[in-house]
Parts: sequence; C-alpha cells; structure tokens
Amino acid sequence: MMKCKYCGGNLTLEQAYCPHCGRPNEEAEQHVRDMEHYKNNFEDTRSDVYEVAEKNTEIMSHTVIITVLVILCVIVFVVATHSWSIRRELLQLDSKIRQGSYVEQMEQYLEDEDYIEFSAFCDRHYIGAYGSDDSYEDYRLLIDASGDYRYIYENLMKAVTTDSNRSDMLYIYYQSIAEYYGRLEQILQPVDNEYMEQQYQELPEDKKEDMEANVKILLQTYFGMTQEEAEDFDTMSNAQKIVFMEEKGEVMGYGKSEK
Amino acid sequence: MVNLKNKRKQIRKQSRALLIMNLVIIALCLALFGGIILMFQELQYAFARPAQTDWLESEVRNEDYAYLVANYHEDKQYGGILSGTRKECYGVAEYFEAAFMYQAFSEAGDTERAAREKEKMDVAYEEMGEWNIAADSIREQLGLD
Repeated sequence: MMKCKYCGGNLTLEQAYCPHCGRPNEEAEQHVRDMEHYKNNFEDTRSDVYEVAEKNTEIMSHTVIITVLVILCVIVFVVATHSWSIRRELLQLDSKIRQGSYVEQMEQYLEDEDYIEFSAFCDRHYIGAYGSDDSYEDYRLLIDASGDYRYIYENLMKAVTTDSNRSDMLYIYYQSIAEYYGRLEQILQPVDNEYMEQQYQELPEDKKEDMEANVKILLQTYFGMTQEEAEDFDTMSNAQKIVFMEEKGEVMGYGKSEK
Repeated sequence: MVNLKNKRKQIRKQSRALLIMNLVIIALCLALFGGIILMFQELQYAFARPAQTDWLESEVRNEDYAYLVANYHEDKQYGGILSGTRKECYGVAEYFEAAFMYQAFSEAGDTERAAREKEKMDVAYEEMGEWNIAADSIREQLGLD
C-alpha cells in the first residue's frame, strides 16, 4: 500500500492513476518497466538454460552413440581377425559334445582300414589337433600316424601325375614324402628313446602293419623299388630318400609327360 | 553482460564439440560398415566348404587327379546332398583313387584287395556320368591296361 504524492489517497503499485485525484502514479510506471525488465531477463536466462541443457543432452547422447559404435567396431574387428580361432573353438566344442557318434565313425573307418578318410574326418572336426583337449587321447597316435600316411599318399599321387609343365614341383613332393615317411616311421617303429617307445607302444599292431605295408607297396609300385630297396628306404636320411626318389622318378618318367 | 558472454562462449564450445562428435560418428559408422563386410567375408571363408564345384570341375578338366583326390577327401567330410557336376567329380576322384590302389595291389600280388579296388572302380565309373571320359586318361596316367 502507498500514498498518492498529490492528494495523499491510498494507492497500490499496479494502479497507473490515482483513483482519488486522477493524477498519474509515477511509481506504478517504474514498477511496470521493472517488471518487464525482470520478465525479459527471466526469459533470456530460461532460454539460455534450455539451450545449454539441450546441447548437454545432445553431447550426452552423442557420447553414448560413439561408445556403442566403438564397442561394435571392436567386436566386429575381433570376430573378423579371429574367424579361424572361432571356427576351431566351435569345432572342438562340437567334437566334445558329439564324442560318442564321432568315435563310432572313427572306429568304422579303422575297421574299413580307410586311414585317409579317418585322417580327413579328424581334420574336419579338429580332433586330436594341436591345442585340442584330451577327449580323444586314445586315438592320438592313430590320428598322427594316419595324417602322415595320408600326406605320403597324396604327395605320391601328385608325383605320379606330374607332367612336364610342373616338373619343378617334383622336388617338393619328394621332400614331403621323405619328411612324412620319417614321421610315420617314428610312430610305427619308435627306436629313438624309451619315452617315445612308451608313447607309441599302444598303437594297434594290425594298424601299424597295415599302414607300413601299404606305404611299401605304393613305393614299390610307383617308384619301381624292389622289396629290399623299399626296406632300405627306412634307414635312409631324408636327403638320401629324396635323391633316391629323384633317381627312381626319373626312370618312371615323372614330370616328363605332356598333357 | 559477462554472464551472457560466457553463456554464448559455452554454447559455441558445445556446438563445436557436437560437430566433432558427428564427424566421429560418421567415421565410426563407415569403419563399422567396412568391418561387418570384412567379418562376413572372413567367417564365410573360415566356415565354407574346402572345395567349390568349379574347382573340382577344373581339376577334372585339367587332369589334376591327385589334387582332385586331396580336395575330394577334405570336401567329402562336409557331407550334404550330392548332385550334378559335384557328384560326377566325386566319381572321378573315387575312380582315380581306386585305380591308383588297384595298380599297387595288383603289382604286389594282393589279388583280394585288388579285386576290391576294381569293384570300387566300377561303382565310381557309374557315378562319373558325363565325365566318364576321364577314365581313359586316368588309366593312361597310371599305366593301367
């Protein structure tokens, strides 16, 4: 409540003119101006606060998006660069889960004396490979031996079918045969030390004989070796084996045929 | 006045930060897109069958029977229904393999096993379909009469 400065009548701040004398209320004018000023200030501050808050929210949401994208990128690149490891892990898990049926299949291959399919099956399912667990421990020797047998067999086939266009590959095939033959012999006839003998002693005798006999038959047939030469082949060093195969292969005409 | 200046400065800073963040998001989206393509390629490569039909067919056509047999053994373990060219290529591989062993057992005088391989050759010959013309070249390569 205030008084009119002209007539002394009672006034309020909102009354622009005195209701008693009709003269203008100067303080009311000032009050309106002040109110307008405060209102404008308030609106400015409010819009600034909104603007800053809105930007902060945007920054926050952008930060979240960037974080999610970085995580996704990392996941995608890790999966892309580890695809083979992922495959290996999945196959190993699968071979563990289905051990029963896989063992049955492996036994079937062994019964059929099909060491090539046995080895291919183990490779396919990552059974007995480096880094795998011990679920198939009983078969480890057979897996190793059949793998070596398979590589001798395949390289021998490659040597036999090599024509003049690829004659330079013959040395590689002979080298592979010599290397895998040496490895197979170490498994089939372990003489190096007691440890290996103990490791390999459980390999079934009939499988040993079968694989060894097959390799010897193949060498005799496709390298024209006599039985004695095939027996002596065991005692040769890798280099001697390669030279011997080169001599025999030359006689057999490998790498000379035209297609 | 000072407050207003500070506020404008802050808003400018925020706008600049948002612009940079938008650019980072675009770059990350591109990297993610490329990464997803790479990931699918790598996974497909890792989990695909080892031998495609056209590889096998080209090996038969080029008379690379040894490579055909190696691929056949790897691929066979992936199972699946065989038909058309793939089945015929499998037939050629089986024929070559049986002939290879037949020759060895025959020369070693193991008639029983040689006869078994001969049977396999006959079965494989039927499987070869239109590719049975490869049988002659296989026999020639192995020196079979």
